[in-house]
Amino acid sequence: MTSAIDNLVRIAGIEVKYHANVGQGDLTLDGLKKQGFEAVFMGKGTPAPRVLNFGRDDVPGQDLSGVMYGQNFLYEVSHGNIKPNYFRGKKVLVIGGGNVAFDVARTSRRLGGETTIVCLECEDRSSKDRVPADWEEIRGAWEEGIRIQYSRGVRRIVGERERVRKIECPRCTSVYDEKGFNPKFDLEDTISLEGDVLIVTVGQGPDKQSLQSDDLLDEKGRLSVDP
Amino acid sequence: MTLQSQKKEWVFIGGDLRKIGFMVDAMKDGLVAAESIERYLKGMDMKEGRSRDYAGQDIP
Repeated sequence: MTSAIDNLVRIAGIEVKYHANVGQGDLTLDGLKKQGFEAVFMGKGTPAPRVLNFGRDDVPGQDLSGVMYGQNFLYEVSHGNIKPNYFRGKKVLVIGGGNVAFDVARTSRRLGGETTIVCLECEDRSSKDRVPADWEEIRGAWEEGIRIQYSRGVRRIVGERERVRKIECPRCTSVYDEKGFNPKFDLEDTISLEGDVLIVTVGQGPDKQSLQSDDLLDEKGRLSVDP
Repeated sequence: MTLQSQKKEWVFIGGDLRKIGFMVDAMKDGLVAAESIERYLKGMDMKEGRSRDYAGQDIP
């Protein structure tokens, strides 16, 4: 990878500035223009983890100690910042049914955690509401001893002395309808699951804050660009 | 069609940042934006002779 990039850079005569986070601190688009750059192409992807929602609102309790986001967790693990058996003796709850959530769950399990995955989607792979992760990931999780709670959402995170303690999970009766992603729940059927650690891994999106500070969003908060 | 920002005419946006999708589509955005940036820097018409994606292609 490094040599592929080095070769491209050398052949095309590109100068690369590393660790440059445009939209944060002094490094702004307008600043680049002042430096003499006449045009900018921005393709900085979707680095921000999505927060847990229930209905239209953010699920309360995501600021409790012990709550983290899967992308950040995997970043720290892959950079060697998490020591072995970091989760030994801990109950780990992973929210999400995608490949990243399963990656997080299996990683936390290898760090000694007693891991449970909670996802909205169902186990039945012929259903419209089927779990989106690949079959290899699901089988791998099962083989590694991870519990999977299908068809459950998260309505509330309950803390105790500022630490996460448990989550309340109503049964999800339907994930997608004609509007697309629009989950429905049966609040009568709610279980609570205990956990010392809660890792939220429900997708990711663009870094709206830096796009906002670079003034690229319209009045509705959307990226304003000629498609 | 041009991937030009409607807030800053010298900024072009593409890839997952604009629309989450397949990697090949993100790579295509780079190609489209390169054409746009060339036209922009040369002061040419941004849209002449270009068609929007899915604008309908002839059946071969």
